Amino acid sequence: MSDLLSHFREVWLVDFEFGAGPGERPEPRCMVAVEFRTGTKLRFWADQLSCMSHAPFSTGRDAMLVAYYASAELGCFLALNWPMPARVLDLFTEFRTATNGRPVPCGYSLLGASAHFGIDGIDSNEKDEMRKLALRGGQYTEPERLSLLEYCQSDVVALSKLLPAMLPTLDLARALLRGRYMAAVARMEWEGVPIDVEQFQILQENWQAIRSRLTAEVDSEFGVYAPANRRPGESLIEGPSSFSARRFEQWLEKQNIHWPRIPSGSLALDDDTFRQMSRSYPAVAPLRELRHTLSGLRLFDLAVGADGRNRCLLSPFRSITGRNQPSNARFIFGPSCWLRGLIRPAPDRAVAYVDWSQQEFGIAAALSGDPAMIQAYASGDPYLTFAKQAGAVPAGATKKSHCQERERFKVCALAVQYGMESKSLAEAINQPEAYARKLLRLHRETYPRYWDWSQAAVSHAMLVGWLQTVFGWRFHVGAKANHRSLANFPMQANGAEMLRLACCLATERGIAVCAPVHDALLVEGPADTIEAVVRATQSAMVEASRVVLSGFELRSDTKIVRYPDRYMDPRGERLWGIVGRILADLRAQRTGTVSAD
Amino acid sequence: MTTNNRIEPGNDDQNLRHKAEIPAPLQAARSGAGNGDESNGQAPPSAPTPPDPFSPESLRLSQDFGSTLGVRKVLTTVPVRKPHKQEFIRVRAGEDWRLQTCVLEDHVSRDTYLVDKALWSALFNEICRVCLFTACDRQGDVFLWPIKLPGIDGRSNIWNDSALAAANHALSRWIRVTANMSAGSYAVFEASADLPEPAWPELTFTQLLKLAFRDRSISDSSHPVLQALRGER
Repeated sequence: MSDLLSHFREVWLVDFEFGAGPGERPEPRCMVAVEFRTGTKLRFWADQLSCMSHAPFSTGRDAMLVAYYASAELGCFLALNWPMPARVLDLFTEFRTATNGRPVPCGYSLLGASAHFGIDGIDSNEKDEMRKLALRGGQYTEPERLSLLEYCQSDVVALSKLLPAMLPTLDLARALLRGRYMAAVARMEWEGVPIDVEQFQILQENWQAIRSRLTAEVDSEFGVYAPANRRPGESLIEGPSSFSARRFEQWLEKQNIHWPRIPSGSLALDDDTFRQMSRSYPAVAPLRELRHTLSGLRLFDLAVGADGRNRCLLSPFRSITGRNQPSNARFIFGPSCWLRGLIRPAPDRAVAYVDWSQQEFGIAAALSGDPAMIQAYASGDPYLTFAKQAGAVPAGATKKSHCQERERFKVCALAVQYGMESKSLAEAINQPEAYARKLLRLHRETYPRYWDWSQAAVSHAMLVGWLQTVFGWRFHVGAKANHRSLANFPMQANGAEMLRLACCLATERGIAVCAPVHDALLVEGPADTIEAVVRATQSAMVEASRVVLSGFELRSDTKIVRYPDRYMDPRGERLWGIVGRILADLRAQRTGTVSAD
Repeated sequence: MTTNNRIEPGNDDQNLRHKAEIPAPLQAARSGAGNGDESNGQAPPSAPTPPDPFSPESLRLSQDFGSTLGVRKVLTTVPVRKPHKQEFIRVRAGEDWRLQTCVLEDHVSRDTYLVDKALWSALFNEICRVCLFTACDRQGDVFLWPIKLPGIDGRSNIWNDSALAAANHALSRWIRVTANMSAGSYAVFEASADLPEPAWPELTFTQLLKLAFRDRSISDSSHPVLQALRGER
């Protein structure tokens, strides 16, 4: 224990209480900080904190800030305009990586982590009481302030017990890198995504009418929605309707689409199947978007602050692969793709979506060291090059001349990384299973070193019980581990490492990163200098790929959107257009009604 | 406005509670108070160098799972077969990686048996002379490719001649071999891509041979296959 901490002159355990409405930035209420070794204690209420130009404790390289879910504390640093601490140890991220893949009966809260290590917590009644007081907000009396400070301090006390319990197994160097990312998360949550608030309000006000009209409009091409409990004479636009599997099956037959089925023989109607089939059959995409919109979209939960920006917890390190897992309902990149049309920069501003090109393929090539795969990535079009390398298309083939073959080889190249087998691949490309088997064989033959490396990863996991990324994000594997998940882990989890490092580099260089999105960053800047922002972002992303992939650089693509344009995900463009028409109709109806009156 | 405290409060520490007082004067508390990486001085000379999250290159862990654990593919079987018509193959160069011998083909089970030299003369009507070439496919899976040689009468066959030519071609190039029925010979297709050399297993030819014919070698006349040929039970 002493060895690890001896790196630092001071070790500060820190906790803030703060208020934050949906989509709003945090507003610190109070803070308690205790120096781990000396017991020096600092307790401040918001008015005292706001008078400070920096943290009232050491935050340089020779000091370490210890917190639980540090992005919240660091968000308060930003609210107070304090410089960020240089070294952050987040016991949440370390508890996640220590237990990732294992059952955690008490959850990932500070109380859950404490229980995991046999540390007692306060009883739940006392906790609820204090939480209610904290949630109340507004003016606090002196005794209430004292109570909240005590409540805040109790978290610091818990930290002081958790730290020594976790230290013996802590990989401090890499833990500090994860702590560095939590500072980037705080900055991104602070920034938020610019939203067209006016349009958002119009959507909210008309949502019920839009839902039923949207169903009627999209379904006019499919005819798969049937009236549900409808009164006689009521049209689909007016009344409720429900998805009919029987009608959908008829539509599929007409379209000659072979749709996956569940073991009972019924059509697989889950969203994953719809998403996968939408890639193979673009005609299905509007229906998938509609179903997702009708079932999953909770428009009123989208967290938009008074400044017109979408903010929510990015929930870092929440997935098995270490990726962020923000709330689908609160995050603008969570709901249906068409709703992303709400992203619009303010006047004189622009946003840019910068994403790595074929990130997973590039990671697989670089980490496995497969020369043919590296050559394919370097070609700029790895999927067409794969087809060429396999001898399936002539050397002079182009994306235009061999579009269909390229698409099939693309699906195969991606499917392989997910451990997909011939049956599923055949369904994904709507080809006989024999063809899918041939594609998989060609992949094995073309990229034998990748296959050896991938198999070695699975063997490693099954032998030692874990896999880890370049920066030590660990996945603990049980006896019943899914070999497909194991084979895919290095690509996904190292992709997550790459994104985290890119977020660190970009935010530390002053780039306004609105949000990280799987393999992309949404950044913002003045409309007239957005190209420079994009260049800086791409530079950070190249650097991140170089570090993670030991010198191998990944390319990136960019899409710039300047005011008054809005961001548009191509998959949602059609539905956004339909919604726009519905809104125009509704407006016209209302105007007509008013005129008639 | 709500207060958002996601963290469960820990157990109250009585000592800490009683020690909780008005904070020390800011100036004293802030002794060495930081403003990021640039300020706050360096660690005292006696302190070891702290880990630096801003040098992630130095934190990188290997992703070479095979080498870190020493996991390697163990060859447990070596098929004796012709190349499939769709697969690209290579043949290992060198006299040490081939063997001229006699085999017996069981046309019922489609198995190939290695026949002991002592039985050749007695079985000359049943066996055929072959050259067993060490070959592998693009996945690195090794097999022995038996190509028939001219019989005792010296008569050759265009199928076998073209197969031998294909094997010779495969010594230095990745090829695919398919039967050209109208020409009555094998056609050879060479891979145009610059494919890497095969990674041959670390086994001797004798070891490969043992794996290939572990359960399929005929060393005496009581072998069940020979009994079956003689019409015995």
